[in-house]
Amino acid sequence: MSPQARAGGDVWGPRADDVLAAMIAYFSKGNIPASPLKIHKVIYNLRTRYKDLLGEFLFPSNTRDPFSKRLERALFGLEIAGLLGTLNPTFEIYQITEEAKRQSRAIFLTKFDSKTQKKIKALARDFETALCA
Amino acid sequence: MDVRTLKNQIDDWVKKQLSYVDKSALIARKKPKIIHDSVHGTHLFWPWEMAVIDTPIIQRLRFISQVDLLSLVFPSANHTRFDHTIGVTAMAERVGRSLMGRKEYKRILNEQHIRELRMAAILHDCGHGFMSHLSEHIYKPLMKEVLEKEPFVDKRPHEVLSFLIVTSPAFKKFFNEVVEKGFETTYELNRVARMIIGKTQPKEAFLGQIINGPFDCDKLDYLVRDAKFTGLRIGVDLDRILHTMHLRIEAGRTELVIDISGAPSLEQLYFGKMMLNSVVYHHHKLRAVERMFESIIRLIQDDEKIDLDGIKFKTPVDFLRFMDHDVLARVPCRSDLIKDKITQLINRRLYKRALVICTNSVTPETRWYLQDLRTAVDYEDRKEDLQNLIYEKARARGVTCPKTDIWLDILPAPSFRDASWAYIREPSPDPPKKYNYTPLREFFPFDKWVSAFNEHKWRGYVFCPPDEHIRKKIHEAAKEALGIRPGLKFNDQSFIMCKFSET
Repeated sequence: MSPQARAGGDVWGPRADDVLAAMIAYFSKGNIPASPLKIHKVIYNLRTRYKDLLGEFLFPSNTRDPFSKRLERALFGLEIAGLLGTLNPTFEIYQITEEAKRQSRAIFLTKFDSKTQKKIKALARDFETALCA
Repeated sequence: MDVRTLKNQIDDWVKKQLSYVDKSALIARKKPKIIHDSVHGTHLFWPWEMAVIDTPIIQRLRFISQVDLLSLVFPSANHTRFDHTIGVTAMAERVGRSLMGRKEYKRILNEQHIRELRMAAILHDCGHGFMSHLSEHIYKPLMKEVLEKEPFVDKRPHEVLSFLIVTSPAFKKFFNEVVEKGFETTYELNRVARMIIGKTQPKEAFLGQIINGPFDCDKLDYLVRDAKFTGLRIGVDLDRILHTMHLRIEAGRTELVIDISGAPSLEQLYFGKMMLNSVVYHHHKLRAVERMFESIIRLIQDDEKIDLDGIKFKTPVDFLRFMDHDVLARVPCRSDLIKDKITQLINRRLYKRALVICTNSVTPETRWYLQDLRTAVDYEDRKEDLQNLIYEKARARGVTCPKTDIWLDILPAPSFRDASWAYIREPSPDPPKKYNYTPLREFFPFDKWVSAFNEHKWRGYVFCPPDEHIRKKIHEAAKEALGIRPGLKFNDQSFIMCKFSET
């Protein structure tokens, strides 16, 4: 079934959660740090440059560390779906399998037009670089 | 709805509530009052605090259940928002005094802060509508615009309503006339309001964190209280948490932290929260009851002919106008369909599971699509689309029950933000620096451990009326619908976990 047919119209069109799911397709590494503190900080910093993709993730002001409830829920969704694997011995890294990348490409990346896909590719690279630095 | 409109509506509501108050009678009280709480013991309330507690704004909390309809599942869970309010005030006093009793913080905390912490605790839940978080879940979409603006980003809707009540001109006037002038006391009411949403100035951030922070008095009370009244045995060492609380004074911020010796107690607190989530708040029967009640409010919202005393629940303030018993007692007069639903609810003829969605009930090849399904928690339109599709497939199978009787319910993700925000203080190995501060989760990534636990506990449900024949048809309809969108395929567990009686 094509993604469009499965999607059932605009309702299932691209949203911020889908951006995160689609980014996985472009990750070059097999694992990334699972620290929420780091992930939230990196997304917070990238949010200004990629406002159109990450704008839905709101971060409250007046806190020592950036943290978005919405982003937390989105990450949990990726864990449930197996796109981010957490069952490593220390729970300190997210494992990203080749199959997860394939599924990310097939299910989520196809929700976006080619122009946005390029943006997501750049976002995924920047995210990975900042997170693994 | 924009902030200005909401503010105006809140002010009107506060005016009406306070119009029932005899101010001179409130001021005439000269003695403090002793209130006994079954969780934290006996506590003293000052006459000016009683003047606030005795207003309808707080008294209504006596008739709002702490956890909506939980007593239909855990019979002894009949505690109310009022009980919790008293408990949080007792805890706020203890936390404040514990910090003030330490020599190093004597210049930071004073009696005025204690007074204001207590007042913030008294008022922290005054924005709850009937059935607490259940009604909050229904009116949250009506506050979308408000919740995207500072200082309300990531705040719970009832916290925002509490803040707006306390900062409303009508409440400020009452407070000034009765509490401040009547009893010759002084408060910074705006700071009290900021404590409620956990957003005090950075130099006194700890004040907000005591009321609304990683290990706030709200949590210290509700976890213990909900466990006690449901009968769930969890261990929380409140005394150790109190004795190990400290302040981190750095770079213009003063924040609440916990000493390394209190870290295990904090972990214990969060494990307690995890157990309550898993065993109580996410109990499938409670979720079913909540969806049944939600269907009643949705019917009132959607059917032009039905209202409750002229109220259609189109704005968040409408949810403040009633208490639990008002809704359960008065609604039946309005429509046969609602009357039936209320009768079924009261007689405990509850919805049952027609489909269980979890990592074990879907095929490994389609598990990836759970990501799309989970987003239906945040995107109402996606949830509605799926419910419509399930209903359509059920109709095709001859099911005639109303659309509002078929519910897709997806458990929210557990939030462990607090574990990242709770900082642990430990001695620094590099003098002259005295202490290092590290987020709790960096000591032991228990939030990921808990997340893994929750991954296995996470569920989505399709609920429907209990009739076995209908339930089985809806089971098949839901599997077909969710096979189209988002694309899930189910195994036998999806059927077994529903516990059909004739399997």
